[in-house]
Amino acid sequence: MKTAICPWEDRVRQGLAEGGGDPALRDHAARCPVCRDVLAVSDWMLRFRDLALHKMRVNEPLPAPGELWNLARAGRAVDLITIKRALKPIYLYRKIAWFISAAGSAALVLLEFERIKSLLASLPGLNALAAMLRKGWETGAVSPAQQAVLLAALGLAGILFLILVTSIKRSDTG
Amino acid sequence: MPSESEQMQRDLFQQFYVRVAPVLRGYIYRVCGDQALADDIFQESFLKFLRTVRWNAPERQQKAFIFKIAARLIIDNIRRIKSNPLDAARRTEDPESAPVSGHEGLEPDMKNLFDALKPRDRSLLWLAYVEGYSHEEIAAMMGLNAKSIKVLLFRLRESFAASLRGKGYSLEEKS
Repeated sequence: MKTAICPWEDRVRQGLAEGGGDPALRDHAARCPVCRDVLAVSDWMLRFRDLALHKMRVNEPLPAPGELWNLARAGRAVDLITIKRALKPIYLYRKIAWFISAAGSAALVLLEFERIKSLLASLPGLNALAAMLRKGWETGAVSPAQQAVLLAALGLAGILFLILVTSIKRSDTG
Repeated sequence: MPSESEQMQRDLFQQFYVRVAPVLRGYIYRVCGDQALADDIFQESFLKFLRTVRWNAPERQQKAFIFKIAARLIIDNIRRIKSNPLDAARRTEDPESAPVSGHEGLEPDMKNLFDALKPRDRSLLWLAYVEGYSHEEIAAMMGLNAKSIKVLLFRLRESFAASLRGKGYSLEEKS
């Protein structure tokens, strides 16, 4: 479909919306096929608007401007900046709690290293797995493919651990 | 006790509201087709407007700004807006739906034609043919480019004018 354009179109529409009193625009619209359609659609749309406005004026009065003004002011009073300022101490205490638990965990690992080691060693299968890996490494019995799989598994475990730690930290800091 | 500048802004708002609120509400109501949703969008538009308005800007600019806010809110709520293409199609095919003499059926006929359009197209028609905004102004309001608006409006005008003529509403007899 070819788009028929008239350079007067914007002016005609604007003129009609503002009351359409300019005779030059009406004359042009009578001669120009594009603006004739513009005029037709505008005229019917404006009638449609008037019907809506009349119906609403009768059935549903507008809210008072003062009401909206006060609502906007109330909204402004509890703006985001104020909310952030109010929540600041809570975020601060959450951060402190996170650091204390991280430092406590590190201290626990350092102080009770031997106990943790023996606890891990007592887990069924874990000791055997570590021994097998150590032996395989020393004797070269582990194939390059197995080594690659192992490294990938360790890397994946590391990534999962990092994701877990950062997500905990993010939820802590809000 | 409000300060002098606040009181002045309040007066400016009151004057602006008296002029713009009825037409803005008409636009939102016709595009949404739902009174409750239209009321929500109307109120939210003014609250957003009041948060960011610059009172030293020209009134046309302020009016375009609040229409832009409303247009964006309508887009955000597009899923809640009724589309009624089936009803309109039925009416177009029905020979009994010919317009009543003296255009007593204008409201239902226009409403059916209008409701059959997508909410975006209703907005475009209203902003262009009721409010008289230029292609560039509408493009800025709807977040589209002016060339697309030109093509979209051309197609809409063609089909809308044809539908109006099909229902017996012509320019010649009206003006």
